[in-house]
Amino acid sequence: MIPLRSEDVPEKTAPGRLGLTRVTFRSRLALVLGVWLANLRILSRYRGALVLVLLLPVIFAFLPVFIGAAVAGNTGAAATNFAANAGTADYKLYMLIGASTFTVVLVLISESATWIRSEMQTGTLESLYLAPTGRAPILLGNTLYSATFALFNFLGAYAIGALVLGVDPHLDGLPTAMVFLVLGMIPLWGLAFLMGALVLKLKQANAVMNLTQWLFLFLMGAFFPIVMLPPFLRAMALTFPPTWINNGVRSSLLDTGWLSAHLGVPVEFGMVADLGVLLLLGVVFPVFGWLVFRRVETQVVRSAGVGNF
Amino acid sequence: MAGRVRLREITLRDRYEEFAEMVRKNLLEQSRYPIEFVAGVGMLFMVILMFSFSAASFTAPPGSPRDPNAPDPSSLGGTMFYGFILFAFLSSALWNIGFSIREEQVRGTLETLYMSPASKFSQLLARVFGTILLSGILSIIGFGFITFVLGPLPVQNLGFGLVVFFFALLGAVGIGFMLAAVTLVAKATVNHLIQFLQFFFMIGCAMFFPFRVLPPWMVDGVSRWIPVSYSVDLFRSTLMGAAPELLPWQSEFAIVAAFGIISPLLGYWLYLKMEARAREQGKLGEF
Repeated sequence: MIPLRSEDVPEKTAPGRLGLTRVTFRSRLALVLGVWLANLRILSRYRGALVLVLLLPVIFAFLPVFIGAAVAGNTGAAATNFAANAGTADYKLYMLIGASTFTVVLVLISESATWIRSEMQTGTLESLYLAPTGRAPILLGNTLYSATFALFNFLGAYAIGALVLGVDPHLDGLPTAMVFLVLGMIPLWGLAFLMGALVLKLKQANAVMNLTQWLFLFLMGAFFPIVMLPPFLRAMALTFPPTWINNGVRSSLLDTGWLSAHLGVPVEFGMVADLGVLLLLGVVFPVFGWLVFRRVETQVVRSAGVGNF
Repeated sequence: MAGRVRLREITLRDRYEEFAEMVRKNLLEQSRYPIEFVAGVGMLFMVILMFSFSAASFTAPPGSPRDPNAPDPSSLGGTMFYGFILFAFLSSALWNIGFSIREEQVRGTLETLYMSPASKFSQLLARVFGTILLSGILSIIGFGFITFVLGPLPVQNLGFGLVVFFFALLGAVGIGFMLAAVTLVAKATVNHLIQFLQFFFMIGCAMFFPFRVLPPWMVDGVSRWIPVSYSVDLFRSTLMGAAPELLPWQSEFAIVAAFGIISPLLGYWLYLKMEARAREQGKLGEF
């Protein structure tokens, strides 16, 4: 935590605000780090939850693996058929990558949605709106925490999953995969805003999350290549950031091909083009998400107030 | 009762009326959030689509020879869908009994509930009533959707299948009670615990695939030790007119019926124990 120095002590009250505090850049930064640290401390108190979230993607990856064996008749036929459809016979690692990447998406999005809902339920959301710091540093601190937790989750689940499933984790591709993951967090932040807006409006965070997690799993092609989708759904999937993140991570680790190839980009520029698309989505989604969130927030504040649930 | 003022004895009729009021209140509450129903229908379609495409990625490409061991789509569809029905009800019991206790903790209303003379058993049971109704409607919609996608599903021995389903449902409610007990101690971890349990049952009880594709160590070391596995196996094999995979049907039925009777009682006993401990330590409303 960054301590406040004497120069941070206000000479006068911030314009248009009551109170003694003047909010400086340094105090905002301290708040962001404070929120990040507080969340990590809270998380560290629930060690059981930490273990469970690491195991979840591993167990989840087993599901399509067993379905595959049931459909094909045996594991050998499953590998052969999968190679013909998805470009790799290593279907266990394929599913593990999908499940682990999905966890990153889910953590980043659900942490924001459940945070808003939990503040509503505990009756502290309205108080946060009255804080002289504004909401941005608090939201940023929460997002930083979600990102830290999501990366820890991905790496832990991937390592445990590779051990349990007995597959080669292809570590040489991991640095590129991490670039896709970290860059992909920017558009996911925008999706988190959209989810936050939905929770503010509809209140039912659990119902919303239950639906969206399956929608995301489906659209991002966590357990199958999106080329199998009909053209309309494929086009939808291509505008969806998690699809690009998942495929980027998967291609880095398993060399299953870049998504931009479907848009006519030559294979040798595939990785750069995929990263470029993620960057573009990283501009569009946060701006769009923030605008929607502000609009919904204003509506809610003007009607019943954010504390109403 | 010594040291307590009581105006009159609580009769069985009072208990019934109290339970009916609780159910009515829960249904009313749920009707105010129709989004839950919409999300449930949406989730159902998404789950079916997701598994269908996952399954499709393991089918032989057009023109290549079909593996003689590969099952026909209708049989696999039945295996997955009948497992899904039990999964939907079990999931509802976990979220609506277990997680609602957590919500009461967070809202600060759990301690208040204990000031009321209403039955704790009714309080727990009433939470799941609306959701059972919802899961029932969703199952019927899902049946229609699967039939539309894969063709008619096998439906044999419907009467016996419903008896098995009834006991399986009682067993699921019991697991919900046990989770409610754990919630009093686990607090915020319960969210992750429910997710973990959902996937654990999904895999360990082979809800979306036959037991034969699980490694033998998993069937012998995990599946055979979970009573829910027998509910899934018996319910599925009864409706599909096939032999159960784990045990002869008579033995499976004995396990499923016994679990359906014992599980709610055991779950409620556990809940009372945990609740008493939390009250002694003053941690009932702590979260």
